[in-house]
Amino acid sequence: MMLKICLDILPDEEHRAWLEAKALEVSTGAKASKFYLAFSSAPRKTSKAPLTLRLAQLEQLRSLQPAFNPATWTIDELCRVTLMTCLPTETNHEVLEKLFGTADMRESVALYKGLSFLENAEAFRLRAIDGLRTNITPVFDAIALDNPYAEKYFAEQPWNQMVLKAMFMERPLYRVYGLDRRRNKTLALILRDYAHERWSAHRSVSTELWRNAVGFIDAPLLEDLQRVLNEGTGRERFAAALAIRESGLAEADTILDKAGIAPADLPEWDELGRAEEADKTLG
Amino acid sequence: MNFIDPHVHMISRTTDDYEAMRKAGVVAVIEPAFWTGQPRTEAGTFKDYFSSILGWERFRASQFGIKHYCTIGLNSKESNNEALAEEVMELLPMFAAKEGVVAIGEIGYDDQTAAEDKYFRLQIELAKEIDFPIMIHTPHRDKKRGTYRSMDVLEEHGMDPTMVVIDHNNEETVREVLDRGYWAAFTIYPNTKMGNERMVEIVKEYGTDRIIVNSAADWGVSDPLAVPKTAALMLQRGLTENDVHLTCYQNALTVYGKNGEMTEADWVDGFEVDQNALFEGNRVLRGQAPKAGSSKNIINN
Repeated sequence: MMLKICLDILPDEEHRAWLEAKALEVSTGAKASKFYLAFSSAPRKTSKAPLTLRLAQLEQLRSLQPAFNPATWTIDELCRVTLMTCLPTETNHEVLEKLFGTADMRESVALYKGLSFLENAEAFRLRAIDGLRTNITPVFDAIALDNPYAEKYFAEQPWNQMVLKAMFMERPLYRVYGLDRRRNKTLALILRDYAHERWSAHRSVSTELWRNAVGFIDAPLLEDLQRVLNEGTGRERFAAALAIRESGLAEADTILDKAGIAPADLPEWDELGRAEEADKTLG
Repeated sequence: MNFIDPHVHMISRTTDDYEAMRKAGVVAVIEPAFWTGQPRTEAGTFKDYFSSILGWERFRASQFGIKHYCTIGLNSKESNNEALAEEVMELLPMFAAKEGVVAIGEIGYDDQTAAEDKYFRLQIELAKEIDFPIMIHTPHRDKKRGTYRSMDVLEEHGMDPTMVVIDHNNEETVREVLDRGYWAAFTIYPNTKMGNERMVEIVKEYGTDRIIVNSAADWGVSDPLAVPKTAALMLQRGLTENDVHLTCYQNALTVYGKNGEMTEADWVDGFEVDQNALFEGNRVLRGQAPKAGSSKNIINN
């Protein structure tokens, strides 16, 4: 499936021929070394150019990976992931585990991006959790952002660690797939403590933090949000108002009214996230 | 002038060396996989060594404005531990084709044993399979016969000599190596290999076609500035700038650029050097003030 989609996307005939030949080798039980050589050679045999997709192609990819973000993919990455999907599932765990141990940075990124495309994706849960311990931002992003793997396979504890570390690493939370569906009380409490630590050090917190509090606003948390409404910047106040409103608190309308924020003016969480991300990119 | 040192074991060198090399005009280096002075006893140490020369060492070099490439291979000396060699051979396909690997090497003979021969041949086949150049280490002892034998075996396997650098040549081996169509590299290394006055005479006698100068600097008494120093001596002794350009830069680029991993575009316009950059959470600075700028001006030269 993935092979067909990828061949349709590759613009260069020579690249298609190479991928097709290697995919055949890999899927018909060639030695693991053949797969390793092909996987490493993908940048040399294809291209490191970004993807250009037609809408139909993007839809096909999203049918396999609902969070697929074409802006973060290159041609050789797509080829590497395609080769991963060609490995027989009876052996792919052993073959890929070895590769995780020897991968360079770009290979690691492709490996983590590729996991959710595998039929037995769940077998790699511990590997994905371990991957989050990296200090290399692109590798962390490959797992945490634009990837459905964590939502589908992580238990609450690793999920919470991932979101908290994403905050520490100043990653854009709106790109964590399933963020709203995986909200939980424990995460809301952890992030509240985190906000207090930051405030004690006279530092700000990402406005996206409060997105995780929706539905878990108790009295102390409401007090914090009131404080943000009173003292925060424009975007911080929007985030606090959104969290209060979406939590369906009885007093929500009164609080917003008192803060002078009209519900119609509130942005979407994703818009807030994008604005934060743009600020960071600018510098 | 810009230089390439196409054989230097930076993993054994200090940051002072990197600074001095960049200041002397070295823009790119190739780090061949070799032994590390003491025999390894586990395949895992090879794995981490290969990862180091592909990862951390490349990053460290970039912090001083030098582009770092490497070769991957099982060296002849450690091929003699056959149980270990088998495991290392399993590792090679996981590293050989990675980005920044310009050749299979250093491979060849040390004592010219049967085990060395076996793994040499297997690695020639690996290079052929992925269409990579080969860097040949020629032995210290019984050098002439070991060098000729290396070429015989390469030819037996149908390896194209224009894809092979025969390294550590001397006056006794160079003629045959060039006549048989190979690239001939010379290592300027005090006491055991070549001095650079002898090197100047070799270029005067044999010209610059397919001749390459390197330092092979490592953990022994060696000189990471051997290439720029030899270049300076060549000019002093009446060779032209073009002679220096070919033997101390271009020839290495031509042969080690053959698989497409090393191109002049990687350094010619400079590249961004940010000593605050992190590699897996580490940086090379230990208390110094960071320098930043393009690779061309990071070190006063």
